[in-house]
Amino acid sequence: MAKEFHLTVLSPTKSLYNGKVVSLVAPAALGYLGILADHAPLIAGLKKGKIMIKESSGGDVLLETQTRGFLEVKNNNVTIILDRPSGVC
Amino acid sequence: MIQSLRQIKSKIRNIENVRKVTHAMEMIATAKFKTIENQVLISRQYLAKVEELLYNLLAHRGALNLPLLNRRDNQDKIILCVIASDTGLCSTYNSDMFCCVEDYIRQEGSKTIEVVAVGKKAFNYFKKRNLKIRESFLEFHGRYSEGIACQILNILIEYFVCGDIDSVVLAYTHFETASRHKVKLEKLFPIEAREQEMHFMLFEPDVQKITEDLIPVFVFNKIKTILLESFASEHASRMMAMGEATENARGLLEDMILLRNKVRQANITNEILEISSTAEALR
Repeated sequence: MAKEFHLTVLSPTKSLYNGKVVSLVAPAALGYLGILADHAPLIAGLKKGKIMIKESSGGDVLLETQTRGFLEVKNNNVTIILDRPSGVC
Repeated sequence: MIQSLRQIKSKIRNIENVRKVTHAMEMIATAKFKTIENQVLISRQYLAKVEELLYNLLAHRGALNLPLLNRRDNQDKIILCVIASDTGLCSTYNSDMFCCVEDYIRQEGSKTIEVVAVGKKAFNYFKKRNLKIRESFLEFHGRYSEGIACQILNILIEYFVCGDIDSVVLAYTHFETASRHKVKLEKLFPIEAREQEMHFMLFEPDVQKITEDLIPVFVFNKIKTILLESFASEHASRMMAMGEATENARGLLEDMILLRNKVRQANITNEILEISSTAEALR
């Protein structure tokens, strides 16, 4: 089974996602960025676009963001911070 | 009897009215507190993440030259942004705040301190104290909106970036639990890096750009969080104070009712005595 890591997606008004995932694709400033477990420490700016999440349970989650944001990878903990509340549809 | 029955009855009516008012205020404060409490927790969690990210970035700073990070050589002019309430009846919420602010002013005695007052109580207090008030924001009544935070933030940024101010300090009430809050003073500008270990990290696109983007998010959420914390503390203090007042009124009412009954009994006994003695006399 693929190695998993922890993902948190936060907006100023609520927590949008919190759980174990296998892979993540996010719209970073220089283009879409794929992240798997054991990724090197990274801080990236995010543009608006689609955040694609593959969960450990096998499900797929798609978050479409309307705002910019930030992404941090640190010790298999990934945090995505969106900068406005109405960011996701 | 010292008091007539009528006097006691009117007193009871008054106490009852006061009790109704304090009870209503307690309920209102409770409702406001409940709605804001959740927002505080979420906003605090969000801010903690942003803060962590920002300090990570600042630890990697190269030649970061951003207006809000600029340290001034002399730190003589301070803007103190004090957040208090608009209305009273909230126990020691405001007086605790002013106590701490006084301590701070005494500590920083040699420096010029000017105030940005949020809330009528703060405005009145500093006016009476003859401290220069640069700007005041009144009539929020503990209702938070994005607009308020933006207004305050813009003014503070303007003072710091364009003006002659060396640092901006926030004085707010940190919300712990419904019955526990603590006044805190925190420096907002210039934003200073914390002493922390530098870890290897990748950046996309680069440190400068991300920091530039993150700082507005950070300062806005900082102001938002401290406003929410203060408002939550205000509502919680008012809730507790009014709860106590209602309880006291209830105690007073009980005593009064007891007294009323005693006086009534005494009156009846008196009347019976009078009747029986007159009957005796007439025989």
